[in-house]
Amino acid sequence: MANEVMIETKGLTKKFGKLLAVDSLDVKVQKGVIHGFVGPNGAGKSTTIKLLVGALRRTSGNGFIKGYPIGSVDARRAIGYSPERPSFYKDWTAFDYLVHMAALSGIKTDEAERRSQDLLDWLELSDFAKAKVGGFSAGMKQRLSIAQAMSHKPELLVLDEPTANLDPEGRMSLLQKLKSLPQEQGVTIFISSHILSELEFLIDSVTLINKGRTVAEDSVKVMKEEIALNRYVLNTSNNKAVMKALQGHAAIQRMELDNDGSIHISSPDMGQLQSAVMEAVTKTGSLLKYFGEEQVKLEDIYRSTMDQGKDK
Amino acid sequence: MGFKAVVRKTLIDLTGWKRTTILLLLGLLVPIIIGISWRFHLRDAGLSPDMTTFYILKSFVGISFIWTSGFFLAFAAVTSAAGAISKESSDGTLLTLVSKPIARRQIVLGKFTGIVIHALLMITVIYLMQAVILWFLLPVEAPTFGALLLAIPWMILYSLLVILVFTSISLALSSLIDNQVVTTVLACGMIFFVFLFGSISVMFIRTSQTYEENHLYMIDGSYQFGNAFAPALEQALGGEMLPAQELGEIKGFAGIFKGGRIGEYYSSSDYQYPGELANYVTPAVSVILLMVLVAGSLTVAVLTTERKDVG
Ligand SMILES: Nc1ncnc2c1ncn2[C@@H]1O[C@H](COP(=O)(O)OP(=O)(O)OP(=O)(O)O)[C@@H](O)[C@H]1O
Ligand SMILES: [Mg+2]
Repeated sequence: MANEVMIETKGLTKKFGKLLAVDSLDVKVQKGVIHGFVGPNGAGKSTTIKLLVGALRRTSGNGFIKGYPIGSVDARRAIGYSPERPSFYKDWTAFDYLVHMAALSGIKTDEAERRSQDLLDWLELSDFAKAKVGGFSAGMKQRLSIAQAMSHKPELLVLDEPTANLDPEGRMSLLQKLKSLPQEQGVTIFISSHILSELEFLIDSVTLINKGRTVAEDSVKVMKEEIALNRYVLNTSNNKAVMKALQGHAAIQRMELDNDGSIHISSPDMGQLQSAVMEAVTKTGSLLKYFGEEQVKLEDIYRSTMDQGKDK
Repeated sequence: MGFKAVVRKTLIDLTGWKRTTILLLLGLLVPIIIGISWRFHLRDAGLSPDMTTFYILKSFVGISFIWTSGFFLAFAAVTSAAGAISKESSDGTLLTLVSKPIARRQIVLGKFTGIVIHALLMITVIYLMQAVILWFLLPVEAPTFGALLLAIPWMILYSLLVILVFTSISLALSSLIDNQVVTTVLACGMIFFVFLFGSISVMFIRTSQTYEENHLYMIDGSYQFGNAFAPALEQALGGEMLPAQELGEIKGFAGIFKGGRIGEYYSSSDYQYPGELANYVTPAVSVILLMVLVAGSLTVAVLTTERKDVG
């Protein structure tokens, strides 16, 4: 099981006319992880996902699900997909819809019925099993769409912004449910969002995408370490004066004051920076409140990598 | 497995009570109205029982060819099939559908099968109801009713051909165009083109010679359908082909008789149908041609759907 690859794309490209929506994208997702797929609006997340599930045809490049070429029936058998804006047959009840979707995937009727009921229970929709989907709220539709994705017991769940229409409470409750899946059922999850912070507690690894290209991809742990490297936070009783004293010092690459009153410093040399800071604090007669390595949140990675993306 | 699910859903979608009621009314309305006119005709004509049976039978077959298994059935098939793919595409439900582990080909063929089964069941019900209604409406004796019932299987067999042709063409259109309304309008236009090509073209062609020498019958849908109908007609009338003069409305539409609708005959005041079968091609050739059209349309529908970008 370990280190088995679930999703792999090589130079995956999709053009809509002249528009390059996905630009030689390389993505690799291990089996059994929750992988975030994050980027701003229009980055190409949904397009990539539609390529992975076989809805769109690629312009060039390759992609594989469990080693099967994307778009093949074998690849699709492994996938359960919940689209960004799920659509349903309005006159159908939630239960009938789920049974139909399972049957489409080749599941026998009695098993499809059992599984549909289980999924409705799990997603707290069982009270509405016999209600027509047309009357469902956006949140209920989103959950039904996830149930639909899981109806044939896929090994890989591909969820395109599943929390987009949910209130904060619904969002948390859904993400909690998803979090348990890899351990309990060995499912791999590929989940997209343009809000990185809400995925932070959920994901093991992440791909950052902008303008159709991968900006960064790694395990969340490694990424945090890389970004944290050489970054420090300083807080003193007189930040302005200390910054002025530090200005132009060889140990300082970048320095900025944030809204909360902390100075963020990039430095290649911890030792040199330490003595420079001490010197500046003494010279200005300030009080040192805090000095240490930066604690990185995913959001910071996102911001810094997206900034890099812009420069290019 | 997945194929069966597609067929099942298609059947469920097509059997909504509203749609079913409208189709039954539409299918039965024309035969009933015309049946009333037969009633008056028969009352005044004073025909022998044999002649009455014959009159009812040939009128029944005539109205079946033109309306029940003609315009009406084509319309029913077209409205069933035109939205089959385009509606799912514009509603967004196709996106989830194509992500499931089922070949797109199976989705198209499953829908096709569902529509064909539905149309066949519907037309069978309509024919049986029609026979019963005529039984009450007309002074029909038991032997006449029996003859009507015996004609029905032949009408249904011919109906299958009409269903296959119009369903497959509409399905092809539905896969090519993402707009259900446009697809439906185009497909309905196609019905008129196919059935009225012959009748309209004679206004321009004027002579049967032009029609024959240019082999225009090959692309004349009304001729090909009429020609394919001829054996069914023969069987329905008890195994004997009638002289053209006896056939009433059918001859003009079907164009299977020499000069059956060509202007030169209409324009002379003392015209008489030659009453001779044109036999441009044998009925089997017409059936094969129409089936080739079905296969071609289905191929287009399958290939277009398989290559489609969904979403
Ligand atoms: N079917 C299509 N035809 C033409 N252009 C498209 C199509 N689908 C997407 N695009 C374009 O491709 C680009 C990427 O769109 P995509 O929907 O993949 O972005 P996204 O990352 O999912 O954004 P969002 O966060 O808003 O969902 C956009 O510029 C979009 O306008
Ligand atoms: Mg999107």
